Parts: sequence; structure tokens; C-alpha cells
Amino acid sequence: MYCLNHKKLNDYADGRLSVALQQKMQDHIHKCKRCNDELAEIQMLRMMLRSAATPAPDPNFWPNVYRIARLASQTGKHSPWKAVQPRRHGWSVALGVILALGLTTTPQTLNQNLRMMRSVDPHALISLHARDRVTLPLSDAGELRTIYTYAIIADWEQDHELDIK
Amino acid sequence: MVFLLNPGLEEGRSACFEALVQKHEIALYRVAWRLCGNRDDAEDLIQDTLIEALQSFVQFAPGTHFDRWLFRIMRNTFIDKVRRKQRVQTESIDTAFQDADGISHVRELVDMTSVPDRELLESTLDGPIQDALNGLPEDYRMVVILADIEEMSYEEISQIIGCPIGTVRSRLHRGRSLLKDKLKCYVRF
Repeated sequence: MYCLNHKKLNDYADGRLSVALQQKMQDHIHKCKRCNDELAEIQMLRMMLRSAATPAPDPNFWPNVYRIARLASQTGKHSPWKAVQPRRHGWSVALGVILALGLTTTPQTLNQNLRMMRSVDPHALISLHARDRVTLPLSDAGELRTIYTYAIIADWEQDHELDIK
Repeated sequence: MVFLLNPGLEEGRSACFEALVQKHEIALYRVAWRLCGNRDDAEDLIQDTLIEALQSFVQFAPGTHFDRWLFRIMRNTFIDKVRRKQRVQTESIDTAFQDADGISHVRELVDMTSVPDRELLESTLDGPIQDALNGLPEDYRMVVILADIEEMSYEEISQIIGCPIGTVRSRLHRGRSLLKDKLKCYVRF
């Protein structure tokens, strides 16, 4: 026989019903054999799940897993910490700038530009540009871009000990 | 907890994270084991979860429930692993393979029946219980584990799996019903 209260049994077993409804269900379960059996099944299943044993991990498991997590955190590709590390950020910007320079200049002029940017004050750039006869026009590069590139490349070289000849 | 105020201190951040995880090691291992059904996969899942969690630790809001935050990451990591596994083509381990000279070989397999974990599980009803859990859809399995093994409330589970309470309730009821069917031959309910 189908019982309309049958669907509420899980909620009753989990204590999800209001106090009044909980009491009403309790009274019903005493009278309805089907609901009584069903409730016993739910309680039995929960007891079995809770009493199921879980084998213990190896004693070195947790220390190892912490060590691996720390290492991965320091070198991880998707770490949000990576984004706030200025050196790594600067390195990627430097690569982007170098690629951009590479697209607009020949290899010789790229080296000349890099050498100049590494060693000079941005304010002296115009006179040095004329003295070294750099083929990349200043008007193309723009002063802001030059200053920015200078700072990034100097930082990048310092990090990577790059020797540009 | 002072390290949370200065997350730039990498060592302090890790130490703080580990101190928080240590409080939940047993529950983490238990849930991972029940989700995966074996030691290797469970330990892989914990490792991936902790890597992800440590990398995202800056997003954890102090004062909120760390265990729920961890379980949420574990749940997402587990679902990702299952999906990735489904995309990977597998080959039966007892299929013969050919070497460079075209000679067929049969792989020598370890007798898994002698593994202590398996012995422990088979000496009790734990083996059939785990097999029945493994047979549940992943979403049902997670809800049943959190509700009936970890004894979490519907609200807590709802926060972990990111679903409304009604969804938690229906998955739990359906999951229990499927489990009962699977365990009928072992236990007379």
C-alpha cells in the first residue's frame, strides 16, 4: 500500500521537519508498518556508512603532501601569488617589449636599441639616439615607451645577467 | 593567524595553511577515500586538493569555515579528475602487447587480492559498502558521504557543492535509495 508520508521519511530521519510535523510523523510511523520499515532501513544504512572503516594513511603521507603543496605553490603555473610578484610580471612584459621591438627593427638595430636603453638616462636618449645613429626613429617608439622599456629591460638584465653585445 | 594579515610571507602562509589543514586531516582522508574507493586515488586527490587550496589560500576569508572551503575544492578537483579520466582512452591491463620485434608479451600483474587494504575491507561489510558508493553518480556520492558519514547539515552541504538545499535533499534521498538497492544482497533491510 502506498503511503503519502513515505516521501517525508528522509526529512524526518534527518530532523528537517518542523516540530509539529516531526511529532505528526512520529505518530504516523507508530501506526504505519511500511513507513516504520522504511525508516529502519534509512537508519540502518546511515549506521553502516558511519561505521565503515577507513584505512589509515602511511605516517609519511601528510608531511610529504604538505611539502609537495609548498613546492607546487612556489612554482605553480596557476598560482594567484605569481601575479603579484613584480619580477615575474616584469619579465613577461620585457619579453613582450622585446618581441615588439623585434618586429619593428632588424637584429642589428634591436641590439643597438637595447644597449642604449640599458646604459643611458632616458633624458639623454635623444642626443644618444643621434650619436649612435639608431635606425629606429624616436618618433615611432615614443618617449614613454622608451622609458618603460629601459626600466623593464634593465631589471630583466639584472635578474638574468643577460649580456647584450 | 597573523600571517593571514601579511600574505606576502610565503613561509608563514604555508605554516598557517598547514595548521588549519591539520585539524581536518582525518575527515579529509575519510572523504577522499570514500569518494575514490582506493588509497592511491584518494591520496592523489588530497594532494591535488591541497596544492589547489594553498595556491588559492589568499581567497579564503578568515572567520569562515575552513573545512567547508577545503571540501568544496576537493569536490571540484574530484569532478575535474573524473571528467578528465572519462576523456582518456584506456586499454585493458591483461591485453597482450607487442614489442619492437613484433613479439607478443603478456603483462605480469600484481595479485591485488593480497593487498592489506582490500583484506581489511573484505573482512567486514566495508568492501560492499565502498563498491555500492562507487556505483553512485559522483554528485550523489558526494552528498551521501557528507550527510551520512561526515554528518553535515543540508546547509553545510549546499555551501560545499554550490547547489540549493532542495537539490541536496533530492540527491541525498535518491542516493540513499540507490545504495539500499545495491546493498540488498548483503543486508536484509
